[in-house]
Amino acid sequence: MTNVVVLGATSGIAIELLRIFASEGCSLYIAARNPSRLVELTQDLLIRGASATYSYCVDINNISQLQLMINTIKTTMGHIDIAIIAHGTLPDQLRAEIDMDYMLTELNTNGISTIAIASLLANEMQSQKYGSLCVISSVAGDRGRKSNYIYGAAKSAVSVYMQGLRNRLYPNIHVLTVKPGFVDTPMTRRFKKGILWSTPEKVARDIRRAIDKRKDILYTPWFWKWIMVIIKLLPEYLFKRLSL
Amino acid sequence: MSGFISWGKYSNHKLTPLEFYWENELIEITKQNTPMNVSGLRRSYGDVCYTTMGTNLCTKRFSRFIQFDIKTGVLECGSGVTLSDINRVSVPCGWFIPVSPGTKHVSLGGMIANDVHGKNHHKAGSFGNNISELTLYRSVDGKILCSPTVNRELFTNTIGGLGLTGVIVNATVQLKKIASNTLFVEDIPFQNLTQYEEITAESDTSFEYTVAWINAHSISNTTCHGILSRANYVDTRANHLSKATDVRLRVPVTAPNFFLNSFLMKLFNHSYYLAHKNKTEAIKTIDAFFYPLDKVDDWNKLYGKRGFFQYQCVVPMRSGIAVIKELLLWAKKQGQIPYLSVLKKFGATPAVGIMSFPMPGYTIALDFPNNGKRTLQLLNEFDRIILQANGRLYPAKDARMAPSTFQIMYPQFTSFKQYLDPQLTSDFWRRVSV
Ligand SMILES: Cc1cc2nc3c(=O)[nH]c(=O)nc-3n(C[C@H](O)[C@H](O)[C@H](O)COP(=O)(O)OP(=O)(O)OC[C@H]3O[C@@H](n4cnc5c(N)ncnc54)[C@H](O)[C@@H]3O)c2cc1C
Ligand SMILES: NC(=O)c1ccc[n+]([C@@H]2O[C@H](COP(=O)([O-])OP(=O)(O)OC[C@H]3O[C@@H](n4cnc5c(N)ncnc54)[C@H](OP(=O)(O)O)[C@@H]3O)[C@@H](O)[C@H]2O)c1
Repeated sequence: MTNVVVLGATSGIAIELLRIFASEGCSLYIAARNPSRLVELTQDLLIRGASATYSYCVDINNISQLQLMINTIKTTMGHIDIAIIAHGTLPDQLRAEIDMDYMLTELNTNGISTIAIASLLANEMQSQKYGSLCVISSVAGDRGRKSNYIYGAAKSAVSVYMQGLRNRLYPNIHVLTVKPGFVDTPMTRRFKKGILWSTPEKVARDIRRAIDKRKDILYTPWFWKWIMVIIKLLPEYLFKRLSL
Repeated sequence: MSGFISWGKYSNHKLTPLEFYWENELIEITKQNTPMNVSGLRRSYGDVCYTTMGTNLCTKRFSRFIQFDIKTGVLECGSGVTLSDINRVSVPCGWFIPVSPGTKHVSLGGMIANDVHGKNHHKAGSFGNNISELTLYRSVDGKILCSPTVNRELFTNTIGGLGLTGVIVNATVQLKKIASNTLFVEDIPFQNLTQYEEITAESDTSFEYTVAWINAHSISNTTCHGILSRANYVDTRANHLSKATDVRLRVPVTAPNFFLNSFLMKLFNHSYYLAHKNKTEAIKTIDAFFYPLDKVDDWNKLYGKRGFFQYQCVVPMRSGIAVIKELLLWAKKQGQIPYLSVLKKFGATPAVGIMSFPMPGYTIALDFPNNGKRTLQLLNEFDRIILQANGRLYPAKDARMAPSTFQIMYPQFTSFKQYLDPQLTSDFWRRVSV
């Protein structure tokens, strides 16, 4: 049986991914902040076919608690086949420019805590000698732009960290960096949606396939790979003049 | 985020549905005090499932299963759970939705609010007959549990209540035990409506599911070609229950207006009839029997930019067939032959819903491309005929009937008004309630 751990389990993308794993009959350990949402979700996943569901209530910014959580998961499940880190927030960029406490919290949530929990999971998988570790970063981490570079900086740290980790854990452990484009979830509720937008279902299907294929980096939907190639190619003297 | 406001696609209006994942988000949104419509998958053809004034709340993400008892077939879930997901969960356990519309891309809430009917109406009644309780969220008095015994009036006004009595949060359905996931299907051709009446009467006693397709091109005083399909679940455990698989096609872009034209449809209707000229028997999967149209995603785009109307009415038993013949003859005379025509006899089981559409009689659903004024004139003429016959129209399919027509067809309208949630509305409701 496949044991799957998902952090930030109540996120729009994570819910759809969990439903895929549930329909495959996986055993699921889900963690997030809101206890009643966790209960609702475990019930749903069981009915959708999960062979077992467990939940853990945690604020991922409480880094000192994370090892305890991993130990609990380990004791309950025995081993971890797939771990997914999907929590995140979309900071208010303008506020983050003036309110340093806020900026630090956002950097923590989207960068530091992700790196911390990924490290602990990586160590666990290293001692198992197998496993897939999948972290949701973002295309926003590929190049900084004025409208959301605090978020971008945190995601960029995550992406670079994942490169190093992939290199360290090769060949036993599969390390997947997911870079979604625009996805219609609660995170982006206030945005106007256009043709570049995708659904959490589509992104979840892409992630599931990428885990199977042991891909290193997944841009989802696929066209973001090419959009980012172009964006990264733009010379800085030009890029700095753009309003993006 | 879907690109249509309702299935008929006759309007180019763009609206952005507001999706909520959790109950507390729903409560937050209702505090805003703007007029609101709540929709599921907007598979209604007309304007019951949106409002062009106010907020369009959508239950698509409020889609969690709460309880499923495999022994008793009692299923409780959030109103945004789709029939497709329910089937995926229940069929492998030997349970099926007690009443199914012709598509599985509908939500639980939508099935309740329109009190949908299926090919088994003569045996099972409509969907509301199988709901044991539901919770409503009303802007006026918060969360309320309703059932046939608790808050009974609110319950019976919510079933078929067109989403106007409150937001359905959760509901409990009694599923139906099935012995396999395949059906034994017989297709029987008929040459005229008298023959149809006879075959239906005979079939309705021994078959769980019956429905007829009509070639509207063939209509005359003495003829009406069609095929009656009747089916029962294959009653053997030998056919093990496997997860149904879907083969998908998709209509990628809206077709040019002339794509589905009357010539092509004439050809289709004639050849379909010819292909079934003799009685045929087949074993079909659930998807093949109940949801043949779902094989092509977004088939409504085939009607082009102007979309189409579906006209569905029910006419009391006694005059039913004669009236349906009158409609078809009139349409032919006007040179507006429906592209698709489906006929079904409703049984005697009374609907639980006060505003429910089904009543004993014959129901016919006719698809017309939207040719503007000409089409509307034809349908207005239909209304006159149906009113005279004491029949009524299905609000789920309607986009155009006059307020007076609605209020005569649904005299319960007056008592229904006292159960409305003042925050909830729809373009349909603003149109017919004046
Ligand atoms: C191909 C096809 C075949 C069909 N076949 C049939 C058939 O055989 N029999 C039949 O009866 N119908 C049939 N229909 C119509 C369809 O079943 C109904 O319109 C159904 O209500 C659509 O469900 P939905 O989730 O899309 O609801 P929507 O169209 O989004 O909404 C329908 C109504 O329900 C209300 N509503 C939705 N969710 C809630 C909620 N949570 N709380 C309160 N109100 C709510 C809306 O306000 C609206 O009034 C068919 C439609 C299609 C496209
Ligand atoms: N949506 C997009 O367009 C998009 C694009 C690129 C990348 N991404 C990334 O994809 C991932 C999933 O995003 P989404 O759009 O699905 O997000 P979402 O629906 O907004 O969900 C975010 C989740 O993160 C959780 N979370 C936030 N802070 C937390 C904390 N300190 N501790 C524990 N949980 C916390 C939230 O839990 P609570 O319920 O407790 O708040 C929530 O479940 C994120 O990493 C996001 O950055 C999204």
